[in-house]
Amino acid sequence: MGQRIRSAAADRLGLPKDAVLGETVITMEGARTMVIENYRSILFYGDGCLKLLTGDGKISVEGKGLGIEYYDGESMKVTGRICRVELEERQG
Amino acid sequence: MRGYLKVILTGKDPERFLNLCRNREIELWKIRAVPGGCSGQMTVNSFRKIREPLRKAGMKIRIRKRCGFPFFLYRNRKRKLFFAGLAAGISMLFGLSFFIWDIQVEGNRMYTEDTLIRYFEGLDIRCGMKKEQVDCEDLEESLRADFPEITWVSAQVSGTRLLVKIKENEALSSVPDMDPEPCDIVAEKDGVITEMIVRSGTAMAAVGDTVSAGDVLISGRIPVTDDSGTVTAEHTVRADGDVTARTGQTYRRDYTGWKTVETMTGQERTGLTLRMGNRFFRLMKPAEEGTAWRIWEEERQLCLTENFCLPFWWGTVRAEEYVTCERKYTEEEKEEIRKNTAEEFEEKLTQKGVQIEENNARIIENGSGFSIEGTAVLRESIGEPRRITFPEMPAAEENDRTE
Repeated sequence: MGQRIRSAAADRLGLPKDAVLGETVITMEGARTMVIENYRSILFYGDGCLKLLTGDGKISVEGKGLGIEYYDGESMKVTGRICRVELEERQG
Repeated sequence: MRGYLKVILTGKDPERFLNLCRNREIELWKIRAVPGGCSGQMTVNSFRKIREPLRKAGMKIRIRKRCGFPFFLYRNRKRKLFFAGLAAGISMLFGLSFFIWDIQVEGNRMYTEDTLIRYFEGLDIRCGMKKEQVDCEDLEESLRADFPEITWVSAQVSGTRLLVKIKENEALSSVPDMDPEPCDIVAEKDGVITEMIVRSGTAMAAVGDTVSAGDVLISGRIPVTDDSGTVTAEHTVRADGDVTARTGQTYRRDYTGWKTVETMTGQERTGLTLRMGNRFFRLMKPAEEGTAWRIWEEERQLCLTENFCLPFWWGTVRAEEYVTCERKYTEEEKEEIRKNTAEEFEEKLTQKGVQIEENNARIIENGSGFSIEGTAVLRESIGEPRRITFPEMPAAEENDRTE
């Protein structure tokens, strides 16, 4: 309920949802670099797959030679050959 | 400057370890997956805080490489001479930074850089002097005073470079003073008048007249006549006008019949040049005695940054061997010289604003050599002012008049 009200308020007031609702922001530069903001934790990390937990679901990045250039509490920069990005929304 | 470690992490749960590091603000970067775990880089401070996350995640850490300046110093701690050399080098750089090692002039068009640098040397401003001895304001004032065409100067010492920016006046710096004395316009050289405009004075020649050098073209004397046409008085003015005439000019250039030809033998030597202050070293294979070489050098100053120049110059040198021989000019070469001489003559006159109607040059053989002789028909301004001189009156006549 609270989430829905905040979402509606952000829509009405034209506020950025990543700041108000903590929604995940994914920025890609070609298929080699990706910056993910507002993630919660790392679920899985391997050479061909990276799975992250976010506020409203999961993000799965698949590719080859995936590396974490840097990561901190806010954002993470992923490099390598990115083939596929999948967003999985939390049920309920 | 700060050291960091390249590490390999192995164990059951690398993801948990990464999350624990994130929560404890332990810096880890450039993480790559490796069989059995992952590799990454971390600071020394982070490494000291890593024990608990390792234990919780069941991971083991192995240092692969220690990088950075602190580790470099530690590795080389026994190399005392190396550190002595490093300290000496830093001290030398520090010492050299108190002097001027390059003088750069920007914005000059009328005055060459060499002229200005020679002028600076006259003011005791030269490469190798102490920076604190350079008085930029004094230099600016001197430049403005001694070069009236320079309208704006900015001198500044930046690093070890003295940068002088100038702006030159593009218009005339002063209007030439007009001579107010009455004068005639006389012919500067012989010719036939083609155009004539009189602004002040009396025309003494007309278009089509043939005039000789010194003939009065526009007189500054204006006669005043009475009703009967008799001259009763005479006013003198400063004659003014444009007189263009068709004139002739000859030119001649002599050549010996022999031409010195330099033929390249194909032999080449290359090397390096080094200059430290006034000391010059050329690292190149020495030439055999009795051979002649043409040498090209390219020199660059060693600069640590754009404005931190040092008194060291380095560059490359290339030498090509040649032999000289003398032979007679061929007919084609003579023809080429004839054409070039005529073109040079035309170019010089065109720059002065003279129109050329005809220009004929010919080759004249004279035994041992040859000459290029040319005649040209020009159309140019031939009027020049000449002051009117009044004949001195005899003393008796002067007395008669006063009576």
